[in-house]
Amino acid sequence: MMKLINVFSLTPVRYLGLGLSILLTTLSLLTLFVNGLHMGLDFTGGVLLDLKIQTIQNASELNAHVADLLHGSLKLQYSGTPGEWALKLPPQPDGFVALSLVQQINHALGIPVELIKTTIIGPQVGKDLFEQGMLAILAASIAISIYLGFRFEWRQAVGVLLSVLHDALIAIGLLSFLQIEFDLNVIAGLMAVIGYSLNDSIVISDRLRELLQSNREQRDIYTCTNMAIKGTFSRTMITSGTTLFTVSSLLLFGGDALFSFALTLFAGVLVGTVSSITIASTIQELLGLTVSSYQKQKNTNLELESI
Amino acid sequence: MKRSRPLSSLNRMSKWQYAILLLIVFTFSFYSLPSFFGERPALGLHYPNAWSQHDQLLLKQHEITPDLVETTADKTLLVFHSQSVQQKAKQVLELNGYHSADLTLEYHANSPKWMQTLGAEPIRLGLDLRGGSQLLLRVDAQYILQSHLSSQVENLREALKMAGLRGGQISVQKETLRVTMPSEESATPWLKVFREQGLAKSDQWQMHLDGNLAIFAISETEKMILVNNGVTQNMAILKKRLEELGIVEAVVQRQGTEAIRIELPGVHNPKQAKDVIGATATLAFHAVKSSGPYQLADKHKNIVSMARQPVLTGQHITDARANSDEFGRPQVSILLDRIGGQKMMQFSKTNIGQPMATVFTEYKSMSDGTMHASSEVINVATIQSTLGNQFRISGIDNTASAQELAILLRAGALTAPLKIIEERSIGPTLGQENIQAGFTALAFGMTGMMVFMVIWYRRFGWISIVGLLANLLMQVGLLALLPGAVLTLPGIAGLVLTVGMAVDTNVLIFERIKDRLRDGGSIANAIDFGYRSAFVTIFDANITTLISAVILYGIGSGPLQGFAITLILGLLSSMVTGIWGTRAMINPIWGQCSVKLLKV
Repeated sequence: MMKLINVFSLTPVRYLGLGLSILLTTLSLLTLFVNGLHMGLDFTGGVLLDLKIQTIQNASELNAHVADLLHGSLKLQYSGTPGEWALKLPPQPDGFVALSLVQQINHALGIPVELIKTTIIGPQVGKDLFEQGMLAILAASIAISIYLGFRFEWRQAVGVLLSVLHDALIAIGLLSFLQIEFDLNVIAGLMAVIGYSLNDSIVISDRLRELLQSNREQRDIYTCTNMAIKGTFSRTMITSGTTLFTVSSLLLFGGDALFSFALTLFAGVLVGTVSSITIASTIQELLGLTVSSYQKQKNTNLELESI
Repeated sequence: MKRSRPLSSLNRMSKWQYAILLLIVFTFSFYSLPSFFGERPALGLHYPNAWSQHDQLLLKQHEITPDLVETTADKTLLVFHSQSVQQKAKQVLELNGYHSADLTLEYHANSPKWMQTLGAEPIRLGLDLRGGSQLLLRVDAQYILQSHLSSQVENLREALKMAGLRGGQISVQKETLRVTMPSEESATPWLKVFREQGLAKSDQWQMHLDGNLAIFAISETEKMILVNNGVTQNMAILKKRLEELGIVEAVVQRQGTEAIRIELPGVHNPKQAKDVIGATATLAFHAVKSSGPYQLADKHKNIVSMARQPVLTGQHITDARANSDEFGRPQVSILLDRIGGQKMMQFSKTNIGQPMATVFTEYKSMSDGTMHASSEVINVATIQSTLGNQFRISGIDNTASAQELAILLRAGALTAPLKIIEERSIGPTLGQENIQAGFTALAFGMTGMMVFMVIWYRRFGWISIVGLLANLLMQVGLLALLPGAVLTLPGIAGLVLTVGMAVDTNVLIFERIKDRLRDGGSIANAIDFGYRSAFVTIFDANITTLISAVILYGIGSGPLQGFAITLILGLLSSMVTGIWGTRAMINPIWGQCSVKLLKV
């Protein structure tokens, strides 16, 4: 397989990838605009009660029984797993006791209703948590930009930064498309995606820098980039492979609680691997990265020495 | 081929390096062991003659039998197999007359006793794994500032009256105190009074003069101190009150500047806790009389006899701070409002040399809805001189007691109201499910990775498996040892991710070794090259994840922090076991091998 890759130039593949990435980014932005994010309770505030109800009746039948209790506008929802139901309520006044409401539902339905989880979040807290989450992502982006600024020439830094942001955006777009709850776990997942994608892009950029600095054969930038990618290919595959494997382990076995986290991570890592090849490298070329960008530095150093 | 060093000095780790490595690995592995034994819910009985025949019969009537009964000097522990049984036992005993404070909800580690004596405890499990409730409370900062302003108004009014300055208008507007003086010329005596009251030229207030209008605003630092004190005093009260309910493992933590987070492990219906949070407390000063009719016990269980009528009740205390007197001895400075100051002055004038007791009373709402008051003498001090609205309580043993007294005094003062802004409860079954889900994911991930490493790298693969297992033990041990570290479900997710990262570390090294072997180097050479050149790359790769994790830890809270911590610890331990650990094993076996082209 390695031989096959050496045979044809990677450059057209990379630019095709760039086109695809732009398409995906547009789609993500579109679905965000149209569908919006399904904000989890962490951010909206309100009450969520997870109940276990042993019944073969469906949602509309159950709701008919509790219509008076819940004032008609609130409904019991089926939460995917048999026997598990969710009840969402808007923010309640201070004296609200979840257990007493559940007991009332119990009476109304006549079948055992068990409260397995209560989440009550005041609206102000929801806003605060959302700000916290956004702040975390912003801080991470800034920290990364600074870090990149030190390590690389500005064009490479921009390319890497864009690829990292692109990955986060596509992951969010996927969540929006599937209308999966956007909560604090997702924020944690996004942070992990950012860290991972950054690492991936850095590996390739590092190798590129090495090649450019010691470019004795006077290859052009495109050849150098392709060589950098091919050289690190096996390493990239193995890293993504291991990370994706552990993440799919979480996806399969982690249960509902970790689902949104695991999905964010899975999508982010998958896209992240590809984006390092297609976005980081192409953008930096488009911005005018050439072999001389690194050679100039070297020459300046030599001049100083001779003085 | 350039030889940098003779073969025999390649790939040798010194004895002390091995010693340290073994020490690290064994210590952390040992401390991780109790976590694998797990724990069970337990009920602590703190009253005399606990677990008598009567108690046993009571529980048996409700079909409750503990798995294990342990008697120690200070309590008897009943260990149950499930939380619902534990809570039912507590309910039964409470209904039969025992105080809830004497029935503590605890957890009993299943690990052997000798481990516990060495300080090895199982990891603390977060609420999402154990089940329990979590409450987030916000302190009403506005209330604190407004009440501070109001008491200053009282003091100022009194001071101006005493100085004979009339005609001024004092009002409180938003967050400022406004004084309109009659005319600008005679401002000087007014300014003098302001200075004496600490309103002018002080750190606590900012004065702004506009013609004959003086505007005083509480300085930012003072605002922070006031809100900070409000939160701290509330946290102390809450912790104490939760202990009174028998919830000894409650976590009361500050979150940000104005909020308090309370975690109640094992408590699924926090109604009782919520009632307790709404309770209030008061303070009163009584003259100590040897034949006084009002008798209460103090901290050391001595009876103090006092006059029935209090000299002064705590609602007049506006502030109490612990500091040192001119000799460096601990004392508590107390600030009273105008009326309080008057009363204190009248009493102290005629009672110099007499002792005065501070009585602390708490009101709690019981489960049946009634209010129950309990009182205790917290301090007895001798009146040294005539006291005004500022006086000091001295003769305190140490700084810690002074701090505690200051908190308690402020606790008796106008407590800042608390509002519950967030509440989460997780039932025990969900907690159990979460644990199972998390560990299944971990087991699957680990197994998959280990199989991969053996197939892909063969002999070196086996070495990396040992490294992976050591890494896991080390991480669990680190979490168990780190004070305050708690394992949550996202934390387990972090563990799973770090397995991937640990494998990545080994892969990087082995790939470099393979490269050098392909170029024709000997194994010893390749190993040396592999480790040296991979180190920078591994470090680099981990730094980026570390940045994200540190930011997440700083900005997040609760489960997010748990995730960030496992990630950070995982990165560190994977570097130690992945680089140092595997090298320690590879060196002795292949380190001196000059054979080339061994299939790795």
